Amino acid sequence: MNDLLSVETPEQIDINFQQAGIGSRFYAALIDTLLLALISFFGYYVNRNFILELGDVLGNWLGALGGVVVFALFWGYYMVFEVTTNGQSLGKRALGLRVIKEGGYPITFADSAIRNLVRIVDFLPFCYGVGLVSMLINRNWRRLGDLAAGTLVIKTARTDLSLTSGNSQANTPSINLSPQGFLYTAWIQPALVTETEMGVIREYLVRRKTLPGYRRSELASTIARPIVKKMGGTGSISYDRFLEEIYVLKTSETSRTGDV
Amino acid sequence: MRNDLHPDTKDDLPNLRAMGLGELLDTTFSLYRKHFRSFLGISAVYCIALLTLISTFFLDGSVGIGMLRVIWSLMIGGFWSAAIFVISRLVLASAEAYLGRRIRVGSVLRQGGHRFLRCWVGSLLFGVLAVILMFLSVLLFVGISGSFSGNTNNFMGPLFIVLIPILVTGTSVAYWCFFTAAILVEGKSMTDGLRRSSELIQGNWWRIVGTVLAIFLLSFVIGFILRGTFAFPLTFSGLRGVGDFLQNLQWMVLWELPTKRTELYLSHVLMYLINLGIDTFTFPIWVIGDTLLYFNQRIRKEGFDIEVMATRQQEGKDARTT
Repeated sequence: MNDLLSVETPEQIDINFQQAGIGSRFYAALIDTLLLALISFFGYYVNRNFILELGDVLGNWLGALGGVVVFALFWGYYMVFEVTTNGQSLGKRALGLRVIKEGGYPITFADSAIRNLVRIVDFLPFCYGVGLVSMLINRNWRRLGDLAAGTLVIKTARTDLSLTSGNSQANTPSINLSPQGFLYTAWIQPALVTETEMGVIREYLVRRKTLPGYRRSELASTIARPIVKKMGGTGSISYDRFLEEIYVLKTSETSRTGDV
Repeated sequence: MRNDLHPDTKDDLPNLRAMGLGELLDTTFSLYRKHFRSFLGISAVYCIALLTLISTFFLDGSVGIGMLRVIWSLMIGGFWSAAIFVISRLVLASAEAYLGRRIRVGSVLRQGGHRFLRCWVGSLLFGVLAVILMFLSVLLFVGISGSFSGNTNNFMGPLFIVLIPILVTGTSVAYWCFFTAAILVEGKSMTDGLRRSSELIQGNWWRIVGTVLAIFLLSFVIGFILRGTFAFPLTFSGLRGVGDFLQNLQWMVLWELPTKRTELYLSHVLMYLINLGIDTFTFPIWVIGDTLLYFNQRIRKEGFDIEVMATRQQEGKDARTT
């Protein structure tokens, strides 16, 4: 669904990156801009209240100095963070984004300098207007700064959202069943269950506690009925229990044969 | 909606999973770009309706004031209907794209007439309810803040008057944000659609409202930046009727453009057209985002992704057997 970018390294290894789109980059930029605005406001406050005398000494030079400080702040902020924290400003870190070179390498000081100098052009004529249009047109959501420096913004490894109500072993269903207590041993045939079906069963068993009761039975029935039919199961069946039994039998069979 | 869970081809199989805010926003833009012409084609209907509505602003008094009122009422009603129509078609198209099917503008525009009627009536009722709620909240809090201080001319009074009604109305309206999707995608009735929408939101109100606001903000800011980007060169175009940059921007953002033919210059016509174009472009963003949020919530709360996996597994088997 999301834009994947495949990069081939000089060692001829393909690495897939998930590109960051306009949405996440917008909110990363918003966080960075708010931080910078806060720092600027603090600087303005300190200057106004504590070092007014400096104006008497420096005269018109103070305005020029202020301009240089603001430029250094806005340019230096991104550069310092991108170079020292592996391509992540604070906003990008919050959104899980990172700047890298086109070849998948970390960005260098020069790359970051170019990327952030061209930011001024991207900002034109109004609030990143050029940058926005460039990102909308470019296949890889790149603004002019990225194109000039040969960089990309990607998502760092996806932290999978926990849908398992605090289960620490997120991909392992918790089942308390002993083979002696199995109800459907007479006709269950784990060998008939495919790997894809096992994937669905595992996903269901891991997440079932987060689902409302009615939904749990609906899903268990949707998953189990075709398997029951395949195995020729009869009588009244608790689908949830049936899926648990299949899972236990199939995983123990897999671990016995070492077929992973 | 043809069928809830079936993609067109195996290549179109979507990777359904729960998304965080950043991923949801990015997916919104990915889908929009992937099916850009289709979404824009549907959104063009909104553009035409808006253009027609705007054109009635230029009718002068020669048709008679009574006639003018009738025309405006009809046009506003027509515009409302067109907006709901476009929203419902965009929801359908987003759902089709998300579930891995190709969008066919013609078929999307023709789909589910009776479901559109439910959306129309529901939206109208909810719009009226929101206005009444807002009005009652204002009255209530004017009273409360007045009784606190004896008059409403203190700081807390206006704060109450402005913030609380917005919060009260916002809270109620938030429960409605999956209403259209529930009707169109699941085929619910009007009351069931409302129930379904609040059922999906229950327990996650803050997250949902935050995400909806984030989508709206993003859509608005993109429109705002694009307006600024076009207003800037217009400022230096030397055309008659343009103001300074901030004035042009204000006219465009707030639609404060002349509505009398005698005051209309080429620059204003350009601003109207740019505004129409930008609105047509940004309109699908929040609808796609809201529809993705609806599916995201179904995945989180109801394991919709598991259902899709299980159904496809079964479909594959049936196809092999036959």
